[in-house]
Amino acid sequence: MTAAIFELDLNIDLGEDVEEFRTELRRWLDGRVPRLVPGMDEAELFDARRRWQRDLFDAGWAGVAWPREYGGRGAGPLQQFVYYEELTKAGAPEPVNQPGIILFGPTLMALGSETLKKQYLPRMLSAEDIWCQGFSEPDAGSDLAGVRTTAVLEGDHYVARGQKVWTSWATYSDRCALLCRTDTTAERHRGLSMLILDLHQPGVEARPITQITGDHREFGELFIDGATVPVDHVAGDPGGGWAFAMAMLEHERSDLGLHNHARLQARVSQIAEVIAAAIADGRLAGADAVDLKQRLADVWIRCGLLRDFNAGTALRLARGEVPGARSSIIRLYWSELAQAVGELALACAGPDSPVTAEFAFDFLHSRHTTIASGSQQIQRDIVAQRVLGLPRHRTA
Amino acid sequence: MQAPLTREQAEFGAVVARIVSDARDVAARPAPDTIGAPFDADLWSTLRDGGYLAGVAPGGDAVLRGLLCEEIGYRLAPAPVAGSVVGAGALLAERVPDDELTDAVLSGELVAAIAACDEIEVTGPGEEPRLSGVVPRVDPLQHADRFLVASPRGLFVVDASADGLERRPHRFDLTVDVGGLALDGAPARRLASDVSEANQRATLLMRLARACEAVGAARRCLDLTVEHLAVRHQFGRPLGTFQALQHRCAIAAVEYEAALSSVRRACRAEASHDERITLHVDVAVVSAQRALQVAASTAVQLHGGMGFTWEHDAHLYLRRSRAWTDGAETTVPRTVERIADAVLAESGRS
Repeated sequence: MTAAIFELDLNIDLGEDVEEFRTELRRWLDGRVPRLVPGMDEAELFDARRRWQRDLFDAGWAGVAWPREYGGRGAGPLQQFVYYEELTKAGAPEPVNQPGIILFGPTLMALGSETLKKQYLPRMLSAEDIWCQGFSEPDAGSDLAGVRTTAVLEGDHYVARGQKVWTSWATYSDRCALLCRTDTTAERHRGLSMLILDLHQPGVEARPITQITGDHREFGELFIDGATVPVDHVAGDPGGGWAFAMAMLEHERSDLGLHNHARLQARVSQIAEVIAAAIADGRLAGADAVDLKQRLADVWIRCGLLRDFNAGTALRLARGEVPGARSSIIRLYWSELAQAVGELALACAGPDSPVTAEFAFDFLHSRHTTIASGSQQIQRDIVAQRVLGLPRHRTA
Repeated sequence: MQAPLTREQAEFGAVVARIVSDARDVAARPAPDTIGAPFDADLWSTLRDGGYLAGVAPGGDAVLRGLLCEEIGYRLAPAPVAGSVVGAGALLAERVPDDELTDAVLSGELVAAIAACDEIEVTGPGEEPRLSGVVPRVDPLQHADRFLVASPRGLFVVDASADGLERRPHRFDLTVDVGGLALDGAPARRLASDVSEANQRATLLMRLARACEAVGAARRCLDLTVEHLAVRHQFGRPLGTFQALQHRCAIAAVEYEAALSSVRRACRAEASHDERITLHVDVAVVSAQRALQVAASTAVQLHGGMGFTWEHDAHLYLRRSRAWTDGAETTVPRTVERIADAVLAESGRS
């Protein structure tokens, strides 16, 4: 149970309807949250999360801010802020299908055709289709516009060839948002399109990649050799792939779910209990205690301010503002905080505590936060050039 | 990103920003060896006569108070809002709301400073007490009309023109009027008995006001630096195109945004009488201090040789960033420790 000190009042009036939403959600969650059994293998874990998403969807609790016509609840960003917080506090499993629900789905809503929206969005939200994001390639990481995967139009379909790498959930996915080159003669940002690739076909092979943590529950790569995509399965405009990809990344960088303060706060609360117990029984004292206490205060402060950022983002979205490049500030703040929490967890666990394995996993896993979705260095470029207005150089 | 301000709040912020920027800029400063105590009388009278001080004084709007302090900090304007209107004002309003001194301080007609000291010697008859002792830090010092001596012996007021006062100004931060005060049989008037609780509350509000100033100052450091990097060319291109310099700015910008969130949140907490106000202020103090330290160091470094001169403002911000503390018992490490203790105490219970 997270201590009350992790929920300082923001002193923001979210409105009565939002508080009613919170009450209703809490009532629904009570007794319904599945407990993940320790020792589940990766596939079992994924299945459990997928079933949970389905439960949420069936009860009308998925896609809180999505329109009802696509299976969502039709509420607003403030409800979404509350939603993630309550789900985490209730100990719910991490949401599944994030590349779809958080990145591709909302972008398709803004830029895609009505046919594609109707065909794919409800199935995405229910986790019937699992989605992955086919962006990075062996030679195109931070320099995303350098992708070489091609899709050539042959009659009523595209034929795709190339390789995607560091693709989260590739081996679990049914569909891929594939950023590829449809016009090899155009200038490099302009020749790209975003295709919807069905992964269940000959010409597509998904392989797992073992991650830094030693498991391969997320990472994968896609080998695409002659796979086909119907011509009407371009998300956004043909040749508009770069704009679509950038819009997806802005969703990723500003999303309240990905920058979940509640998840970090729960971990910091756990760390605080470990430290409190170690001080109480004398295992932790002197300079070590001073150091850990200082770091505890630091991450506690930052978690609270991340919560404030997320509430602020939700309020601004609710007023119709677009976070745009400023979302990179939150991305930087969250990613560095997630790593500081991982570091502190590792430092306070010691080599043979019951929490060591879990904390060590988190520490290693948290290294992705400053790499994925635009590295820390790319994010700083964006803040410098597009928030502060410094002159552009190549990357942002 | 912070919760957005209401339209009224944003308009107030814009108005006070204009007033403060119209006032004498910090750039108009004397040579190193002729430093006086900073006080901008024109700015003070504008803020006083426009009712801005009375409007944001304790009992008034805490969010607007924060916005005014941000703008004062932005220019490092020498106006003792934090020390006099907020600090001394809060103490008087709490303990002697009906004394004529109280309204005068809250409205800015008189400038007062809290002189808190645990060891004050009180001599003379009850109705004509005389005070002796040394107060290490008084804010403001040279431009205060009255000193409010807060001690376990009670709350006293000493006229700044009285005999038996010796001022020992601190010379590091050139944009605040702060220093030590020695009392040697100074004639005083007794205002109230026990003041420790009221003084704690006044100190809390003063610390928040200073944190707001620090956030404003951090923003100015960023603005100055970004402007410089756009104008200054080296290697045939603007300095601002260099990634190493851009990233230092981005790091400072992230710290600034977090600090801004922390002070805005604390001001909202004060406005809604949040019982956790001390914790909110502690967070604001730590975050604001950190943001200003990063921003001021960045400003000096990225201005190169210019940043090392007396002429450029960067050193004023650097001085403020390192000198900005709010009294001996509330240093940043101690504040951090207090936060950690609170987190541990509640976590141990759950």
